[in-house]
This record gives sequence, C-alpha cells and structure tokens, in this order.
Amino acid sequence: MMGWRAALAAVAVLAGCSQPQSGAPETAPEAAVAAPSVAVSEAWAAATPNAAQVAAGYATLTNNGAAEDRLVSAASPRAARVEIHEMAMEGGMMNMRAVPDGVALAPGAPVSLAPGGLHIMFMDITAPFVDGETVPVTLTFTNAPPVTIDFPVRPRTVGAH
Amino acid sequence: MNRWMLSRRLLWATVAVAGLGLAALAWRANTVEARTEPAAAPAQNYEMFGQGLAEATLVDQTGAQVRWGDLNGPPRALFFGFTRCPEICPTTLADLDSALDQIGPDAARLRIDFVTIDPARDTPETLSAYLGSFAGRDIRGYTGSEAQIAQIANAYRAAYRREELDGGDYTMNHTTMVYLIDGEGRVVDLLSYGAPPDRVVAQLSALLSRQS
Repeated sequence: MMGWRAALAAVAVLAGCSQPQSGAPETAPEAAVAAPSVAVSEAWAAATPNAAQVAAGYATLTNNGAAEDRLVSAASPRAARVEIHEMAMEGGMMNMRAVPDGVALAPGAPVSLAPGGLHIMFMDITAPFVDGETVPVTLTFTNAPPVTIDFPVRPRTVGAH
Repeated sequence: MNRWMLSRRLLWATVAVAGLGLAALAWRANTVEARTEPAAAPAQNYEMFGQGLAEATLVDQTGAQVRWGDLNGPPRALFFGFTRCPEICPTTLADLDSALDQIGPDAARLRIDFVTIDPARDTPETLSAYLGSFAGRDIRGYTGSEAQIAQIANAYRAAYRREELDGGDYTMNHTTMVYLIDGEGRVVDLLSYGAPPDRVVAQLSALLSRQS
C-alpha cells in the first residue's frame, strides 16, 4: 500500500521537522554509565472532533539504559483510562488491540508510536483535544523512572498544506 | 454456525482485499484519465456494492427514520465507522474535509454519509455532536439496530467486528474504504485509507464531474 506508506512517511517527516533535536544521544560519555532512562521525543496527540470520547497520542521512545526496558503503562489527567494499543491492517480490515504486556524497548533502538501502528489510547477524555493545547501524559517503564511530558495537540490531517 | 460465520468473514476479507486492489487500479486510472475524460468510468465494476437496499431503513443523526433509497440525489462519500474510533475514522473525515476544501465551492454538492458500526453507543445525539465538528459540510450520521446496520454494511461488503478490551470496554475493528457514490446510488470509485491527498482530490473531483 503505497499511499499508506507515503502518509506514514509524511507524518514522520512532519514530526521530524517540528522537533529536529530528538534528544536521543548515541554513545555520549555520560551515557556509558547507562542508568535506566527512556527519552521521549516527537510526542503529539491528535486533535479530536467535538464530543469525541477517545483520542490517540504518539511519540518516539529511546531506551538510553544498558538493559532492555519496557513501556508498561500510561496515564493522563485528561482521560479516565489510558491504554497502549496497536493497530494493523489485515486483509483490508483495520484491527486494533490492547497491548497488555507493553512495548519492548531495546537499548539504543528508538521505537515509534505512530499512526497506523502503536499508539497511546486515551479513553473517556475529559474534554476534546484542541489544536494548540497540550495534554500531560505520564509514561511508566519497567526499569526507567516514569516520564511526564506534555503532548502538544495537532490536527490529524496529513499533507494538505 | 461458527464455521459459517468464519467463512463469511473470510469472504468479506477476500472481497475487501479485492476491493483494495481495484482501488489501487482505479487510482492509476484516475491519475491518467481524471483530467481528460472524467466521465469515462474506469473498467472496474463496483455494481456488487450496495445492492438491494432501496427499502432498507436507518435513523439519522436528527433521530428521523430514513429510507436508504431516499438518500440518492447528491454525489456521496459513504463511510462505515464509529465515534469511539481513535484514528481511522477521524483521519478519514479530516482527509475528506481537507480534500473538499481544496476542491472549492463545487465540493459543497458532495454529501458525506457516516454509518456507525457501533450502534449500541452511537446514538443519534452522539453522532450529531461528533459530526458537528465539520461545520459547513453536508455530513450525516446514521445509526439503527444491529440488524439494520448489518444489512447496510453487508451490502457494501464492509466488515466489522467487536474487539474486547479490559474492564468490559470494547473497540471495533472494521474495513476502512470510502465508497464514492453517484446521484443514482451507484458506487463508482473507492477511496483507500491513507491515500495521498492529491489522489483523494482527483477521485472526489472525478465523482463531482460525473454529476454535471
């Protein structure tokens, strides 16, 4: 599916443009100690239609620790529940499922939560997500300390500039 | 019983895959032909979609009962989705909205029909509030009983399935095609999810040209 790939690439480019410094150090001297830590970059959440009860957020996670880590849960004051979901196109059907065991984060390998794949699913949101605002999200990992970060809200439309 | 359900799903999946293949072919055809001869339909045959629904009924977002056959008239973009959909449905609606923006005033003739595949939660009120986001668009939502929704969806070979989540919640898996329908109710093209914006604009423009 060329179109889908192109759309994904466009999203990746957009995300990359907006945050040129992703803060994912390769092997800086201090990183050699490699205490458990996960860097969160390119975080954003999609603006929702009015009266929406769910929303989706995306981010790139880079495990800067020496050992394998895992994104195990997420929470936000803007949603009654936050889950990690994965979607995949299978036989023309878009399937979505919860990822109860979380997302594996190998040391040094960025993992993208991006449209068409993994996403942070906000369920029963307190109010629609509006373009320009930010939504605080706390991500919890097996080893690394939790990270709380503001997800900027952006329109979902790709391309159409 | 189960085997029958399974084979029906398989059939839908097969049809959906075939449909996507046809859509891909249609894209190619459109990029070449759209400007020169929009009225010349691609060789693909979409007659199988939406047959036998003239007397089928649903409830629109105002709570009024509607006959499917009475929806014919304007060119339409038909989509099956649900409002608790995190990504596919809002993206599809946003993409349609932005493509219609690019087309300009002529796009006002097109109606977007959104049929929920989650009628238990998508009441007329829910649909009305949700679709109200797209101000200035002729966009209508439809709900009904499970059986009414299934009748419509089956006729368009749209597949959907409930996926259980923790805590008794659920989400819906579903096919993602948008059916482009002419004034007489015939499906004449399909939009595939994630298609490049210029392609969507070309396909919608071709649909609008057929009408004039």
